Amino acid sequence: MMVFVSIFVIFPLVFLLASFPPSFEISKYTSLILMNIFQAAVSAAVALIGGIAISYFLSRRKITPFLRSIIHSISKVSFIFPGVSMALGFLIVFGKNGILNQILNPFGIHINILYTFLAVVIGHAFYNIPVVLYITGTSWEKLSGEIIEAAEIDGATPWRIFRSVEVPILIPSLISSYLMAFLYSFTSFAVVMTIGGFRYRTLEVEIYSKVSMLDFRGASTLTLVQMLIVATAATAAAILKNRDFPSGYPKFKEKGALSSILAFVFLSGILLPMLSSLLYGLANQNAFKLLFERGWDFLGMGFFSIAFWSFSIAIPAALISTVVSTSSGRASSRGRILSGIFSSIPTAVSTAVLAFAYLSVLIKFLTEDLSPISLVILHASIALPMSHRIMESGWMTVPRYIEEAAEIDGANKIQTFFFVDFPMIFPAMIRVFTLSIAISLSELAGVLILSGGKFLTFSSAVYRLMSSRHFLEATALNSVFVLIVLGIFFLGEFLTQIDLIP
Amino acid sequence: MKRLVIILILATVLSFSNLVVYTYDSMVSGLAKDIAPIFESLYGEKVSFVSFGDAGKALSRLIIEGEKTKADIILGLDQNLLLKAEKYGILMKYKPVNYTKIKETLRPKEYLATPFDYGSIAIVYNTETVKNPPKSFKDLLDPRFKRKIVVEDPRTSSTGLSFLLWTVAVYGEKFTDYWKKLKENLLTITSGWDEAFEMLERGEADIMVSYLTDGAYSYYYYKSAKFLPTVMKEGMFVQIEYVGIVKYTKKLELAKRFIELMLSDYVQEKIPLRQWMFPVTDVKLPEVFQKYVPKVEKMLELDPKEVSKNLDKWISEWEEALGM
Repeated sequence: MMVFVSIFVIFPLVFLLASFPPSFEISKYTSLILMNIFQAAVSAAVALIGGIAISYFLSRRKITPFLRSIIHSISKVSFIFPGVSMALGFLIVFGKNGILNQILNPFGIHINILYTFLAVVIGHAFYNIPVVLYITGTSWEKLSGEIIEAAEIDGATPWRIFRSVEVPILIPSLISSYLMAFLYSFTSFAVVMTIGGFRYRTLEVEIYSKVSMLDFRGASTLTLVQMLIVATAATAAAILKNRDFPSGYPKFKEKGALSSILAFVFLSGILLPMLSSLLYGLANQNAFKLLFERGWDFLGMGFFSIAFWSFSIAIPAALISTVVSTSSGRASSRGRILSGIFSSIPTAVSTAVLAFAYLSVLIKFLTEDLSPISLVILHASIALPMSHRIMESGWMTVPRYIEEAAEIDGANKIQTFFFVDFPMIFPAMIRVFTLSIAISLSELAGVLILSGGKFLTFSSAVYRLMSSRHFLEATALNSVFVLIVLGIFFLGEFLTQIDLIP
Repeated sequence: MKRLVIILILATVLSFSNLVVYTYDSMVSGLAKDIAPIFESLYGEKVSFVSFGDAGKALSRLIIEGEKTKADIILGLDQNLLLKAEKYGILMKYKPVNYTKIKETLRPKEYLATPFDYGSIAIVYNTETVKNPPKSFKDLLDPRFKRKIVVEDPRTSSTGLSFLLWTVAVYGEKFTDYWKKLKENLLTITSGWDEAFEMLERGEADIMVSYLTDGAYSYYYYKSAKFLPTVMKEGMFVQIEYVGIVKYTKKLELAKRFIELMLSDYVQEKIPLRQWMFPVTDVKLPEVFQKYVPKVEKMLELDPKEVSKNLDKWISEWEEALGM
């Protein structure tokens, strides 16, 4: 991990900043930076409210296990749902002739929010509610029921318990989830490119624009600013996430209609764009007809070529991410702190920034076109923080004494790994591998910067179609793309259930 | 893993063994489909069209790649992007054998690149949603068009750059004051023409910067006048598109043949209904052009030397006015 991150993350970044020294005249970017921070702060706040509503609902309402598992699945799926597909979903739902307007127009209501601040906030909030849910949800469900019962005996109302007992205990995980939602909204790319308009650009989008306009000094300046803000928020989120809280048996109750209504509204907000994105192309036969008639001609390559490039990048990237994180996860679980620290470094660097850094290295040193290989490494790098966390938890399930017993029985390190460790960490490795494939397939900014249009992946092909008078074709290709990503995700979930332990 | 890396490198290199043309989106789905087969049958070589979204991005890519580029031709630079290409010295001069076929007024002094089509940019509106279209730049500032107009980014789009220069031609040094007011009526700024037209077609925007031939396009494809251009009383602005040979080409003879092919009657006759621009040679225009492209009384021009001298300054002033 340390070698990988040093060579493929730290070196390119240092090289970038040395090759194109940032200018310290940031006054011309002040309004852009402030608007980006403000947008992310508001988006994260709305996501936090939505996340709290749903996680409170899950932790305090007695609902069927089936419904509970559906909500958890939606939350998990949102994590790997491609940004460009989510953006397409927002266009289909919130467009001037979108689904929402078709429903509301008969009542004389017309919604026109695309390219406004509200659109960006709604887009980011719904996209990030699952992040909040993931971080706070499990904490809330585990929060000890004894404490709440004690408060009830003392005569506290549910609102008072929520305000004075639950929130203060959960505050570290709430702040941590807020900061993660802030980070994702702050570095958002596909959603802002599609529904943000020129007034609400993120630094991520602006860096991409500056690179495409050859303003490398400007891009480098924004890179430095973005890295400082992102690194600060990411560090704070990481510190707060690991705080302990009193846990015990769950506490359910029957009352609380408000949380149910809020949970329903926010869940619909997440589901509607996702379902629209998936189903719009499938439901429209004309979309597929047009895709096969005109879409491929426009893109200059067919479905199999796009699939070839997508998987030629995603599979090696996932392999690298799995191998590196398996090694670093073991080191971390055995108490080596540096592995954990290095694994979190890519969190502090956005995808566009890392792609820009790779581009600067490629321009300077390499004579052949190595953009596909650079994308493999880029995608492996951006998957690393998550992969490391999963593998570290995986390694925690391997008791040290079993390895020692194997060694005493004469097994060497390789034998110990394959016959003792591997069966136990297999589910974590499968999860890392499939999630890394999904992350690579969904990534857009890096592909746009590094591929230079010479090849297309699913996400870049959908983006090119939707922004180039081939909207229907984009919806058709997007439906297939989302099905592929979901298929890989659920295959991973299925495979992790396989028990290799004899 | 090693084998996969080798396959990836080979696949990348092999895919560029033909004549490679860098261009923009609508070219690939339009005129390129006519050029590729005829080029192959004439010269026995394949031609690959690689699109980067818009012409500005294609040029940027070429500049980034420099001598390592696989491109032999860049197709679709307008007179303004040509200035940038000249500044970076990435084109090779070539005077076509058939240069006399080009209309005299369009012939360049130096053949850094060859013109292949031209047309006037125009404000185009959706006739179903805009009943009283703007007829002047001042009209575009009317509050009734608030958040209804979409323009292209002059830093990435040749259409967007032409529109910026059009405002300079109309307002001179005070063009930024105009943009500060226009900003209120802008729905968004797209990176290319295709993205803007997509928004017009999908009904998200009502007005955009496009071309004078859009009405003819509308009649030709939809037999209706859904999207019409409006002739501005201040005068219109011409955009000329060029094709140039990349300085680093290793297939010079083939590249020269491509330029000649662009001036052939076969390609020039295809220009009106594929590019929706005017051909640069005297070929017959289709009926829909004669009937539905409005006549222009006044054409505005900017001195290329002035443009070359001030372009960077104007773009920074535009960025400041728009808060970009």
